[in-house]
Amino acid sequence: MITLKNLSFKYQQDHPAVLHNISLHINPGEKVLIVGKNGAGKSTLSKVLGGLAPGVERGIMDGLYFFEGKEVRLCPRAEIVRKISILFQDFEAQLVCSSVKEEMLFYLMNLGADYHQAEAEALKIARQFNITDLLGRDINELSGGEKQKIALFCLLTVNPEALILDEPFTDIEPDSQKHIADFLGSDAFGGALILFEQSLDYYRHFNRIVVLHEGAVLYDGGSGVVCNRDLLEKAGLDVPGPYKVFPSNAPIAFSNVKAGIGQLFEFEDMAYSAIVQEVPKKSIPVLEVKDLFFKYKGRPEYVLENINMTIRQGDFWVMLGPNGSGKTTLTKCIAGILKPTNGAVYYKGQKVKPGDIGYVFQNPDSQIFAETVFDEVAFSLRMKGEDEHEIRDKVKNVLAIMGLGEKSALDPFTLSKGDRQKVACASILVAEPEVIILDEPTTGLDFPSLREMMNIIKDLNERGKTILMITHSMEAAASFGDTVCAMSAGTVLFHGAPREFFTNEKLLSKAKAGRTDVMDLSLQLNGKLLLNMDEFSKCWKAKSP
Amino acid sequence: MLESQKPMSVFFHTKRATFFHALDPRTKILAIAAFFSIVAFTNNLYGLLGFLGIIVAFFYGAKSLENIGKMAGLFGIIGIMTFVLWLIFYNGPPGDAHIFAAAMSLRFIDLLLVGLLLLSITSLEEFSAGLMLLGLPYPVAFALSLSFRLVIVFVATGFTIVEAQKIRGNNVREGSILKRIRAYSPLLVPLILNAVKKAETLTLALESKGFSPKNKISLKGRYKMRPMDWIVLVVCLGAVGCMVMMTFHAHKG
Repeated sequence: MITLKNLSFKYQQDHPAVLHNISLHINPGEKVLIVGKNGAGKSTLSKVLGGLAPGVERGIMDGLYFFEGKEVRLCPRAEIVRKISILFQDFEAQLVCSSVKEEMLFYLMNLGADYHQAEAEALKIARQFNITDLLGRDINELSGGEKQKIALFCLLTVNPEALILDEPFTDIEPDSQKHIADFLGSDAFGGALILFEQSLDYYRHFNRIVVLHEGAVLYDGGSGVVCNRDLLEKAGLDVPGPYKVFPSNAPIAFSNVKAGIGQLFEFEDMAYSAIVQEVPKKSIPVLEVKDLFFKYKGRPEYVLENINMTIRQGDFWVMLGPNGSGKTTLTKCIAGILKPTNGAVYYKGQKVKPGDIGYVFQNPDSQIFAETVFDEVAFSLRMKGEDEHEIRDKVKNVLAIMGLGEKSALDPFTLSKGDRQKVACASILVAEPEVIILDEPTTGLDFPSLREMMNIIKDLNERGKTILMITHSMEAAASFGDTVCAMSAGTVLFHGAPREFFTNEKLLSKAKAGRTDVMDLSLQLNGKLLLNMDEFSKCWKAKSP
Repeated sequence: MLESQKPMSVFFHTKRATFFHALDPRTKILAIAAFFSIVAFTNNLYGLLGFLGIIVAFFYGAKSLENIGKMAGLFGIIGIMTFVLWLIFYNGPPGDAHIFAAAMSLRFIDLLLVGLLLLSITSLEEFSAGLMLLGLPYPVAFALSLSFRLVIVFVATGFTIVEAQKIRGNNVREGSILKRIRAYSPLLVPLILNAVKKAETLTLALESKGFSPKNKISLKGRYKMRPMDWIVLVVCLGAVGCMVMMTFHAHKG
């Protein structure tokens, strides 16, 4: 159905090519996972496959692209959009109506369907994915994850022959991610699926994986690539959870991982006892949330209800919960950005004020404005009127911590998203807050940037900073957090030890969370939950020969 | 501290099940056009006061009085400014200046309230559909609706940027006017960049969803003029007719 022959692409004549000599053939109904780190050419390739580049998006293409035997650049646009649907990485930009229902109708009605046909199709999709309650809402009332779902479901209304998704799950809660991936990866969705991702998290839904590296195809074949450490390392990709256990390239299917571990490794009860008996550190409370209720002005319903919690100095809280559950609103109340309708937040015994707590927003571009990285980071200190010598020392120090020392003179807008996220983080850190809130700091980052970012956050925590991190990554939650705070429908379902949370099926279901492959594997092996690879490698040791 | 409000609160559509909300979008647009005409033809202070009362009653009926509350400050300032300007520039009989200025000020406020009533009872999509059903081409009606949507996006982005800057000690709501103006400059760069980015991706977004100016959108069966719509239109038409007659007679007299 889709055939690319020696396809190369560049955005301008004098720019380097973004895609090099790509040849692919994708059959009708085939499910293909295309992975690569930032800058590998994924988004460009997705736009080429979607027939948007070159054309709507300017660019120069060499080679050929055929869809159902016809050369795409010669096909009328109307014919392409009927058959190929594409979801952009920047899903918010793709929402063009002001209400969810209109958005769900827009695509189909523009293809000529009448209102009743389009409405019936939209309702069918909404029921299938349990989002009928969103249909009556305005787009700007939705959380990021809800917007991403709507942007994706709109495409399903036209039942495309090829569905191209560029990182479609970044903001969606794990439970829904699984539901959607299960559907799209199955025969229930009859069209071809081409999923672009920065990780191999969804490899089990695909029997064909393409690895992109520097705009070229590094690998095109079966899912056996998940065992190929050397190749994945070269492409800047992480080995999926269960395969991290094995020391080298182990050609082993997921279904055999359990047996493989049983043969090669043995469980050390002592190590496990030490892990589960680890006594949590006791320290003084730094933040107290008391009887907090919150509703937006002019709206009758409460977004947050009866929240009570105490956060201690040096804690690392991870905030989990479904899209729209109130995580961001709660953290904004905690940071003093929003004023609670009832109740209060106390920071060191006093009512919290804006500026007491550092807050790194999800999108770094919401705050970056200065001409250099140095000026951006120095901004809050200059606002306080600090001495320029002190500012220079403090900024230099923070940039070194963030690994941005070499980039201090650069324009922050020329940096990668990972580096812009670090600049945003540094600009908060420089004010030396004791508590730092991070709203999904790893969203959209590839594995190397994600690892770097998480190591920085972990390092800050080890230096005594109290961290509250909103995330949809169960791996990050289980690897870094010492407390899980799970929310649903504006209430806190649970806050406590991660091990307690991840063993409680009811809680996991209510919070639309899930266990990682490593957790599932450890439970399958001997019923003892290990939260992350660190714990796994401490407990499962290679058998002596 | 920021008010507990979301960007959405600067927009006015109230999703209520009232007689006014249930009208066909064509009826709403035509009725509002009729109200505009009536106000435009009226110079009489008491007539305008009476009309103000009617509009406020409509807001009450539409369960949208909160929107008047939201805009009261701005409308009040506009009313006072209009009154003062007409007092200065009025060139009729000297004793009538304050009456005339008050009437002009009230007329302006009435017009603003009529517009606000339409926004309160009509969603953007209804407005766009109403214009299409009245004969406006699809691309024009959609562009109008999209421009409102973009305003919503920019305002939402603006709120986030203000929050992000406030955390870093740059509060646009504190200090002297000069300090506030200076505080706004760091907000402009991210806002403009977001706007440019949005504009760049808009064409792609629309094309990806099959939008073309040549498309014909079928609204068949979606909206239906009911007897109540016709009654409202006849009443509005009658009111406009009466107003034209009265104005004509007043001028003749």
